[in-house]
Amino acid sequence: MEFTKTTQNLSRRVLLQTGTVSAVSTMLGLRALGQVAGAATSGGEDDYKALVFVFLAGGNDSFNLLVPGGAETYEEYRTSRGSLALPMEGEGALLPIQPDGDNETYALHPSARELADLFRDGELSFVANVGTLIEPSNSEQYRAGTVELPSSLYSHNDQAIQWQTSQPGLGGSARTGWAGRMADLLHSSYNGEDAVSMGISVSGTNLLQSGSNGVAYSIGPHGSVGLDGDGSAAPSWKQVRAKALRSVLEQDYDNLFEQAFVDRTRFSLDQHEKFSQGFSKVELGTSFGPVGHRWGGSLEAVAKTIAAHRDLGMRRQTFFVQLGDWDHHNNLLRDHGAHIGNLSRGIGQFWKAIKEIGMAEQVVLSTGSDFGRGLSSNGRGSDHGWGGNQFVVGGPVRGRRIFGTYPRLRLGEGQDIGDRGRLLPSTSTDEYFAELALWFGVPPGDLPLVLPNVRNFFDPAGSPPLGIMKG
Amino acid sequence: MVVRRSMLAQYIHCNYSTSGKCDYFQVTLRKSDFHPKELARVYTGLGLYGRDWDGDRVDHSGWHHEPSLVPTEPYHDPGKKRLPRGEILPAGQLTLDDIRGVTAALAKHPNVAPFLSFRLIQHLVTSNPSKDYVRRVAEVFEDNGDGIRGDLGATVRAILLDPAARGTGYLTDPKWGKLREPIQRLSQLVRVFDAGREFDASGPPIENFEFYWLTDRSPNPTTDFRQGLFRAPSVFSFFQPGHIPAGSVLAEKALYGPEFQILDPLAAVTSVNRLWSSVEPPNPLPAPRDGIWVVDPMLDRDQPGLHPFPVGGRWFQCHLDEIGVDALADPEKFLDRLNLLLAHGQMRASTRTQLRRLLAGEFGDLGDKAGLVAIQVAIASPDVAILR
Repeated sequence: MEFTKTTQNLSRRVLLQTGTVSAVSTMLGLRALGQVAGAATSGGEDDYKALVFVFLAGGNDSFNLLVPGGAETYEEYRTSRGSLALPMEGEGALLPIQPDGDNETYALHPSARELADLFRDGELSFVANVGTLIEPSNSEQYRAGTVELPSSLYSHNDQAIQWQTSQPGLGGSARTGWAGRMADLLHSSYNGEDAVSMGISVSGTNLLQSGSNGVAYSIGPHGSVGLDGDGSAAPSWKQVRAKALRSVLEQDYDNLFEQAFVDRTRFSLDQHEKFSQGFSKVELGTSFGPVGHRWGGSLEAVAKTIAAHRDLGMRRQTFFVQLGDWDHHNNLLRDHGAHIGNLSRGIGQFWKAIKEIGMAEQVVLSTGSDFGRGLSSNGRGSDHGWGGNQFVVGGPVRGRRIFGTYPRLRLGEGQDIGDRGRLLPSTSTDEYFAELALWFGVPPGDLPLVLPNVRNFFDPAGSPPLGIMKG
Repeated sequence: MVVRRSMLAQYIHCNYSTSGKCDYFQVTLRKSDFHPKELARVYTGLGLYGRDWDGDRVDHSGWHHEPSLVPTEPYHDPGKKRLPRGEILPAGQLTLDDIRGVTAALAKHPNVAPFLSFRLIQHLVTSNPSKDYVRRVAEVFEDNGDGIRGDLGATVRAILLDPAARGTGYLTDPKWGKLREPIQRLSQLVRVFDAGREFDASGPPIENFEFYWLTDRSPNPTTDFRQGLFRAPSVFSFFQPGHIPAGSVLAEKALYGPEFQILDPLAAVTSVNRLWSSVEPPNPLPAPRDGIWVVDPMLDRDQPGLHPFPVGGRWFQCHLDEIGVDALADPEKFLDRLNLLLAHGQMRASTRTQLRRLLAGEFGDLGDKAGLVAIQVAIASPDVAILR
């Protein structure tokens, strides 16, 4: 079918990068074999790590989540944001925070009470002004056009894809995400071939966890779902129905759509059998009650899966949770505040649950979003930007810090590249994800297999540039 | 003046990148030629029907997914607007005149015909049309034979009557076909089994009955199918035309399977369960509360609670007797009917064999449920889910 090939319109750079990916794929088999010995000796029963990635779809206005708190820096913020600025005093005042070893003070959105508590308790840190980059880029280079830039900046679905692939040069032709490539590298040696997928999604299909060797298994707020009647407790006619359907799904189909359909259905039924046994035993004391049902339920399902990891035979897991509706072009002060409150309460409850099950030292939660938003008000909201602030939570995280470089927010200066105060990222997604991947167990020498552009930013053999993780 | 963007302007802003590429996935324009902000200004002043200017609902009489956006002229930017390819919208036009002008200008772009043709073929016939098929359809969009450009009726006719769609090549081409959308799988059942007929047939028929079944006025299509009509999760709708299902046999051949994007492992099973329950008679019939039937939208909405079932007080179901043949008395004729009504006559011999075994009781005793279960297994089979 020539059509797909001829319409890709590949640039030379894309071809080069695609070549790299193909080389990665062929190396993975060897890598995975080599990994077995290392994994077997790298830890015993308690060598478990879970990475939870929360994606804030729509582009979180994160310069209203993490705000500069110094007299001068806050004034710059207030001037640049105009009608969108949050007050430092009085009703709805920002929540002050003081990072360790930092002369600057900061403040969090007034609705982010739980995030502020976690920060003050040393369990949460921020990564400032992070975004999609192909190579290190400053605003002079940006203006002079001397750096290679990500394709389709400021576009929701393109930037959401690039955050999940960390390959902003590939654009729409990317087929795998960085967590999927970690699974290609580590799954069989840590979890075994017969385990459920390393990637568990509570938000359906995603590129983040898609690898060359497989996709995420997806569950709902109440865990995995099997066929109605596919269990010994069901009425006998429903059991007969499930048996008959399985016999249909076991046929071979020469049409690729039909085969893909039966493969996916059977994959789901098989994964459910393995997953449900461990998951169903878990009871959590922590309540996820007051949070919106889908979001709270999703986080609860993640916490329960982590609690069930031994029964599931898992030593490495990634989780994908999407929380949507962050595209606040309008009514930003009201709607963004409600979303931040929901986000904060959910994260607070999730972390309480993780502590309840004694897994705080083995779990890291990190956030991403399509992009940050421009600083300038459009009258009622803000428009699509580029760099933004993210946060990481977990025992392994060096808490109470702001990693990377928090930019000055005066319009027309520094990282501001114009067009309503869009900020050029000062830290790349590669630098951010590299530290998560190294913690998760990706050997430094294999980091370029997970993050193909990482060498543009630092030498994986050296120490990581941000220092997010402890020791 | 407060300048606001409508969802439509956002869509155009989102979908027109500035990269300068030109392909079937994005109608992209040269950066020097394209001014997203100018386009955004065209759509200023539009608001949702039934909501005030802050987006708060002011009309609580019902759902307002259907009516068009409403212009509020004082909030429309009256200035001159620069359009692609050097066209200009003059200052002082009404909102709808500006919109007509920009639509006409965009529709003239040479990339529109292949862009639209490719998507329409994907929705109507096959996920991976050949370049020639797209070209033949695009030519009809360009000129319907009477010198008129953009005749959608002629375009759809060209798609459905094209040799690629009418020939028999699809029977043996392993790359031909598409996964049908969940809503199409459900609407097929609603039609085949005449679900507009009421359970106790005591009231008059309901207008637009399918609409009620297929929107989220009925329980949880968003949860079970990842698709509720008028409930797309974003301006990019439910799935992307360039989606290649990771880790599948389609990905090995670099083939698109757009609808697979909402058939993640969870949805692959919940959609089957939902289709199954859709053809089962309610048993027992749920009790009305305050005179209306209620459904529990807990799984679907962030706000738990009970919402009224909109065809309140009346219960509808699929009528399996539309098959017209008794499954146990004449199993072969029954399977012929299933094949015709559900699989368009393309049911595979191997699938039919399994259904025959089912009716013969080889998987276990089903009693008077044999016909129902055979229908349920058929609608969960690839023979029905995949359109070839």
